[in-house]
Amino acid sequence: MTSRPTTDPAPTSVAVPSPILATKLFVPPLRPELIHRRQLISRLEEGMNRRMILVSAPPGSGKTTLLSEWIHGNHKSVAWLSLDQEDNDPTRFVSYVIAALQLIEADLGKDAAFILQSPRTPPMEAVLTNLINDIVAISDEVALVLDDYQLVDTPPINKMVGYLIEHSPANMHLIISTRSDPGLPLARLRAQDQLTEIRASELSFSPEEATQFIQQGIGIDLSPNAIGKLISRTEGWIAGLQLAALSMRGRENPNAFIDSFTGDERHIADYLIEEVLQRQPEEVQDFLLETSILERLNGPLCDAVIGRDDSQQILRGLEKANLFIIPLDSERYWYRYHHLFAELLHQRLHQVHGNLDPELHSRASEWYEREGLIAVALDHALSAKDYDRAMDLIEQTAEETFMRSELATLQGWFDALPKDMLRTRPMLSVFQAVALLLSGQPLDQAESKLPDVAAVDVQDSVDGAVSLFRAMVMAYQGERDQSAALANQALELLPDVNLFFRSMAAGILGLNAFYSGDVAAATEALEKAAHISEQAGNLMNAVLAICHLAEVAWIQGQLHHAKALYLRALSLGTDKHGQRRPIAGIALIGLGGLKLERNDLGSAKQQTGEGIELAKKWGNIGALNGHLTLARILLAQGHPKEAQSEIDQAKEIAVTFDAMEMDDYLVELHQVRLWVTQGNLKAAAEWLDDREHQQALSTGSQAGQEGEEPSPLLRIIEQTMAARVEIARDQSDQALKRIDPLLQQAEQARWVAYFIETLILKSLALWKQGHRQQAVETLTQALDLARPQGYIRTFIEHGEPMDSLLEKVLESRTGNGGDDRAKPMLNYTKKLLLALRSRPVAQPDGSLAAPLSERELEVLRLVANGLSNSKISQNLFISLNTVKTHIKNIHSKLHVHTRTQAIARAQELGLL
Amino acid sequence: MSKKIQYQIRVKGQLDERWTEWFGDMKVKSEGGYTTLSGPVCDQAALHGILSRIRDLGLPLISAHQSEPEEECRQKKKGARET
Repeated sequence: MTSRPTTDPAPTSVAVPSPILATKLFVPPLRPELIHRRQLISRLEEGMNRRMILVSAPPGSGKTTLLSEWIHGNHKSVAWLSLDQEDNDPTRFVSYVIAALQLIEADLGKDAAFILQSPRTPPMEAVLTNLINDIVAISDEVALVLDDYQLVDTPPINKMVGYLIEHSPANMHLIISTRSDPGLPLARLRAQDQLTEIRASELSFSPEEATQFIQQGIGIDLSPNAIGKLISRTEGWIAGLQLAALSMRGRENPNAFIDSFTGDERHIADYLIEEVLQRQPEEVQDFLLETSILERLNGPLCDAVIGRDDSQQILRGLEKANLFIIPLDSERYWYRYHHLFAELLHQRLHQVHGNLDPELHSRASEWYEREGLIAVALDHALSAKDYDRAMDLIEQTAEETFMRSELATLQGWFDALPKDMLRTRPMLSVFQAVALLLSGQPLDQAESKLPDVAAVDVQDSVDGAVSLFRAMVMAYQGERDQSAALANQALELLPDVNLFFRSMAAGILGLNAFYSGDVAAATEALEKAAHISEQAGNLMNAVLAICHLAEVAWIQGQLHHAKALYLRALSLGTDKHGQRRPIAGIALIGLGGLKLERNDLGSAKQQTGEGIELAKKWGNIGALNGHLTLARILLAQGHPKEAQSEIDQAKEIAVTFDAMEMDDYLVELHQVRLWVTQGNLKAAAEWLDDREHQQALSTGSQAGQEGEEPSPLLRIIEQTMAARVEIARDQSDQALKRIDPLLQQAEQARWVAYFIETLILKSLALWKQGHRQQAVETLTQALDLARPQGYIRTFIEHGEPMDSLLEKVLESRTGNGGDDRAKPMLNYTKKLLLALRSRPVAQPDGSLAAPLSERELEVLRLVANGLSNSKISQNLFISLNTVKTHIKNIHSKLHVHTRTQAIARAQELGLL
Repeated sequence: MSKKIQYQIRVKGQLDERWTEWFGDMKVKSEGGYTTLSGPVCDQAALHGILSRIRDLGLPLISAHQSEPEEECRQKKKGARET
């Protein structure tokens, strides 16, 4: 048994120590001498028509036995999870729930489990929704038993379980077994008739059941009178009856026992545990007492804790004697005591031997460490109050715990340590600070945990970890340069063993370089991030890094390379059964975008759509880019209304996700693109004026918001869009003024994609100005760069003017005669022209080849308001003839013949 | 230093004083089939800890009330089964 190897190529489900996990998911076996509880079983059966079954009663009432009898009896697919106190970590809890469900249906919750790999804890609602969708999809009845729920009855877990219940589909049923009613909306469920309850009074044995139970348990007949006494003393409490039966077994005079038992007023369990213990051989007594501190038992563990070598045999003997011990696997290797029994034994241990807990826990901790089960070893070390040992263990296992997003578990460990002790271990202090930061705690609170690096002589690893912390903070605050410098420092200082921290640092470095537009640095850092993340087994981060690499390649105009990278990310994000994980959605959206550029609109749409569906499972923010790409595809296909709806969806996502300003702005720019393409120049112009106005303001006062430098990449996208608007508005002079510095910037930064796009805009502006020769030369330059990579859409999206321009290029080239070198260029130009002309022009709901001018739109609006031609001419201060010309043009551009048709068409196109 | 609050908790079933340590050093006194736990409790969390021990032993709870306030708290956690 070892912890999960970090080289695991494809962690398919949940990263938990498997031997322990298996025992938690094991449905307790039935004992042969069971009292069949038909009535309660039929209550449970009937409960399967409701969302939730609550079995709430004190310990020893037979809750677990009842549920296990039910499951063994009806072979339904029921998942089982025995809870421990440590399952209070929401991430761990949901991981176990998924693992339990996967035993009945292997594919359930696969995506949800993968999302949990994200270094920042994903929103639990996203994880649960994902899981719920999987359950809906399988349509079989799914039931999940959460046993010993009182151990996790805390607000964070209740919130999740409450969500699960509220959104559970009809085929999902939750069965909660607990010692006290949980903090769930029980009253509401009762009111909706969605709750079946089985409580203490129903669980306690009826006189007939009790009689049968005692007779079976001690193997001799008792008088009805004696049995009656037992029943009234125990009030049908099953644990009490079982303890009584154990006390009487083999006694010559059970009646005497019954008399003294019923005559004594001590607490039943207190009285009986003594009786039961006294009847065991001394070595068994000691065994029971000293192993009572263990939550789970097996032979080797017990041997190590109490210094014997035959513990497994003793455990078997205890099981045979029915001494409140429950097997946790079918091999009879792991066991646990009944919780009540363990409590009583533990109390007795203190009475008999004083407080042996520290020694016993220490030995248990050592055994678990040898077995590589560090988290359990750690819990025992904390119980032993052996803090040095506990801190050693945290240092060993912290990174793995980070990788599983079990931040609450980490914090629980830190909270259990005395504060002044933590200060002696600077690395632990950094771990604590990072855990607080990642779980979204206030920055100053996280920062206060950092060790004073300047004051003490610390190791490089600590120094490096502190740098990583600061790099993360700077990244959140948008301080790219400082963040990058710190992340670099972290990478230099952190040793190779700190895989997770190194992968985080490389990721930060990559993103910073990406947003600052430094393509060389971005490529280097992202490659490193992908490599380390793959090494660390964090596929999620690896896929993200590779997708960013693809974007960098794209910006550099390397479409072929970008495609290869997206395909690599896609295969990493696909499991060995060929099923795509949510994160693969990001790669699919990227591939869809490339298909759009190649003008392969059908598969672009299909791939992007698939990508959006997948990415949504990961969280809406992942789908944002997909909606924007799809909007462009739909626009290219001539569906402006549908494109608008995609942009609206992206807008909605961007608004709810306010960690980044950037997303909102990207959406805005796509909206402007749509307006320009549709010919809604008024809205586009308003945007531009607004933008210029804001810029004038911010350069006048302070630079940007809260000192945040806008990303240079975002800026060039914005500026090219502004130039586009100006060209459309016949303001070519202004556009050219804007374009020249952009060309320079794109060339210097090697942003070939933007260089090409800007050249195209420049040629269009020149063309409009009548500088035809210059326009052709500029466009030729763009064509030379774009041809090897197969660009299409960037050219043809400009519609009619591009048609004339390309025609002219063709003319000038054909003049060159039989120059072989010119041939590929000619073919490329022809190909573009062909694509341009075959695009939908007059489709029923197509976009416009020639957009309406602002004046034409104005006229159209007045027409739609029912104004006559003369009224329009008065309104716009233009002659009647001009109005007629405008209307003629409108009809021709819209491919209609009447005013009514024009209005209908304009409405379809979203122009009105 | 925080102030302890005196509580008195009554349960059904007799327990002897050997249980004192188990209930966070509260005084254990029993009579006529009932047991009274009394003594200072650090805070509400400690009180709930004791109540859940009572629950976990299956002892029916009869009453719990604050008897007299304000005594110095000597932080002491005993015998918790924390594995």
